[in-house]
Amino acid sequence: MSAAAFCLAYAGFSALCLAMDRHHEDVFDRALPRGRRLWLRALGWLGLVLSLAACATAWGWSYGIVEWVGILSLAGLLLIWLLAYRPRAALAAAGACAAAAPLLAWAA
Amino acid sequence: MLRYRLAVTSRAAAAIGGGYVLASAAAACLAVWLPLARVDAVVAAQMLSFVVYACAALWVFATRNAWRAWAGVALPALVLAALFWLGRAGGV
Amino acid sequence: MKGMRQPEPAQPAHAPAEGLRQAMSWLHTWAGLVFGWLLFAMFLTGALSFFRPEITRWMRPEVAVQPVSAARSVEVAEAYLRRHAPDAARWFIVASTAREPGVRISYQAAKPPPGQRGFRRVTLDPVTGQEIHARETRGGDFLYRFHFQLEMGVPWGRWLAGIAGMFMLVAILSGIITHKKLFADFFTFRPRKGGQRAWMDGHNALSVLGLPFHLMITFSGLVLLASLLMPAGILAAYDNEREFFDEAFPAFAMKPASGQAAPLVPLAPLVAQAEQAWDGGAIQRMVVNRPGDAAATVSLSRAVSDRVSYGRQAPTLTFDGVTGQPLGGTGEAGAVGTVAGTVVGLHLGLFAQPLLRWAYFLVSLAGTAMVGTGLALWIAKRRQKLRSGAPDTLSLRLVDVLNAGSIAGLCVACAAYFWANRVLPADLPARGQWETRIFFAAWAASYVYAALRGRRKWRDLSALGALLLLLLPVLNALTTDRHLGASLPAGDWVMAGFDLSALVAGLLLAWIARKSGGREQAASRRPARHATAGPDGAAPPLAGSSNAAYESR
Repeated sequence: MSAAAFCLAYAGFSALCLAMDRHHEDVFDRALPRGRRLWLRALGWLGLVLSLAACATAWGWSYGIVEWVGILSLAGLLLIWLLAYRPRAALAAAGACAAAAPLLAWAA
Repeated sequence: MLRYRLAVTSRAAAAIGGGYVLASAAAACLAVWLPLARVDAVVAAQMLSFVVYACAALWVFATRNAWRAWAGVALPALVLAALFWLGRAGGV
Repeated sequence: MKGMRQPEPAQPAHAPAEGLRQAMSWLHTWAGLVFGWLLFAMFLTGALSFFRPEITRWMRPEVAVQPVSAARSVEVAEAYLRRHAPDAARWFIVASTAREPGVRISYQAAKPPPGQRGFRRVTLDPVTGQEIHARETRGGDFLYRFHFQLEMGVPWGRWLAGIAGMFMLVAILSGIITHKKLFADFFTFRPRKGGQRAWMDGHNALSVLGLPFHLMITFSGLVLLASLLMPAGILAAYDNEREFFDEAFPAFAMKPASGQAAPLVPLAPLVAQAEQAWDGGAIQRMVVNRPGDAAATVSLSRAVSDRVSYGRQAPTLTFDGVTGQPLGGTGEAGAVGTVAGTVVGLHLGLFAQPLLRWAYFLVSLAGTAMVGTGLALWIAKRRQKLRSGAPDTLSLRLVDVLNAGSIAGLCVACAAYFWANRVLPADLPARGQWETRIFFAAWAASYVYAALRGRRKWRDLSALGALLLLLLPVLNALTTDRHLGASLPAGDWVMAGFDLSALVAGLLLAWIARKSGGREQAASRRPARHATAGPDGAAPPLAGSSNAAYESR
């Protein structure tokens, strides 16, 4: 379940990141279409909230919140690092995480 | 240049030394006045005093000049110290 | 200092918001720099401290002890203490846990032999009940204590650490105020832009993403030292500090002896009673006051790791030492106690399971890198402002030497400490002292080397650190039989984890060494690069607002 939480955090942050012009262009070499921004933001926040829910499910609320903060920090740093050196890989990882998260959550 | 350095030194003294005095006064005042059990009031007061210290340091460097920096630290410190003495004397 | 900030009289020309950000930016730079070197060391040793017991176990590879239950721990401890310390004033027993499987006891010897200290600490093998004899080392405890005591006498080390912590808090808060584009630049990291821009992005990313952690760890660190740093709060309400501590931690207050002898009740059954009272909670500590006296009491503390709010004080149960009757204890803390306990507990991280513990470690390292990149950024900005081809100023060189010694040099020192542990003979007298001497000698030598070497210091020191760390598992294999070849198949994650972490750390330092080597070559080609610097580099320092460089655009 912690793995699911991490995947959700990473995917969520990736979505929020892609919702920014600068980073969208880094990855897609295209400008960000207006409608897409709202979708990406919504999905991004959803990912982060679900990540918190996963942590709370696994560990209870007090421990879960602490774990969530840690996961957010690490997922964010990982994303930034990948984005700087391998933007396509960062995107692929986001897709993989989004797909894997429900499976990991179900398996837990 | 000298004037600039004096101003900076003055602010640093206000933030570090003056800030500590202000934080201690806040800790003492809160420890006496917080409506909690004595041991809890002390613990709470100590935690809050660090917040006061940090805010004071930021304020000292944000404000317009060194005089205001000192005033902003010394005056509240005096007020808090006075409140502390009152509280202690009044057996709060 | 030239061009750092407008002197006071000219400042009102700026809009108030700009003035605040500029002021906070100045404050952030100087608060960060003055204590940056010390804070780097505190962050790094603090990060390592999350694995304090594991490091100690790696440093005593000849000890292979299995954990036992709390009741068994107490039995074993009691047997030893009754034999060796029957007339001590207090017995302290710490139960065996998975992370620290030995039974730790300590006592104040009533009449110590001349020349020996009265307070004795012993670790027992819970199976044999015998004292564990292994190479004398301070292990992970050295790093842990350095983190908040800086190897200086009490209270000076803690005071200095506390002051550094306060500067850190101010640096964090002023950094937040300065970094206007917190959200816009959340994911921005452009290492290829090089120079000041890359360092700035890296510093911002590490700071912002770890912000909840950095704020928490800094504030909670201050709270941990609150009684030392802010005595005014205590003395305002109490006549002296002893009164406060006795009221805050009643289970550990010392009670006077009655003078009458009385046999001590068997201790192990008390453990079962406490475990029942706490509904399965784990026992961690037992304190026996005045064993053998009629006024003896036995206090059991619940495991701090049971809940994050137990960080400061866990619930205790006290029993009469002669009859075994429960005398009461401290239950769950009230609101303030829980808040303070949680704050402290978050800092210590003892409640963390292995996964969260690793997260703590990694985010702490990010914090360490935050401090390090901040120090590097200071240099990068100043260098950028120099005229192309001009040599570094004295202050710049000084700071760069201090940076190299404090960052790369500290890594070398840590590696040297671990090397010393494996290389020094096991029966060397004062072996533990020699290990730490080598740590400090290596650290000091790094500063000297950095001062002498100039251009190549970063590359050389990082490379040396990398070499020492990468070879550490090899050294482990040569000097013990608990090397990776054995520990991985056996699932011995303490030994394997340490060796693997050393390898990863070594690779990281090797990468830094390579980058530093490249950068120093680039620096000698600086005239060409400076001429092509983009809009954010082109108008350097002549106007006062150097803080334009803090802008992201």
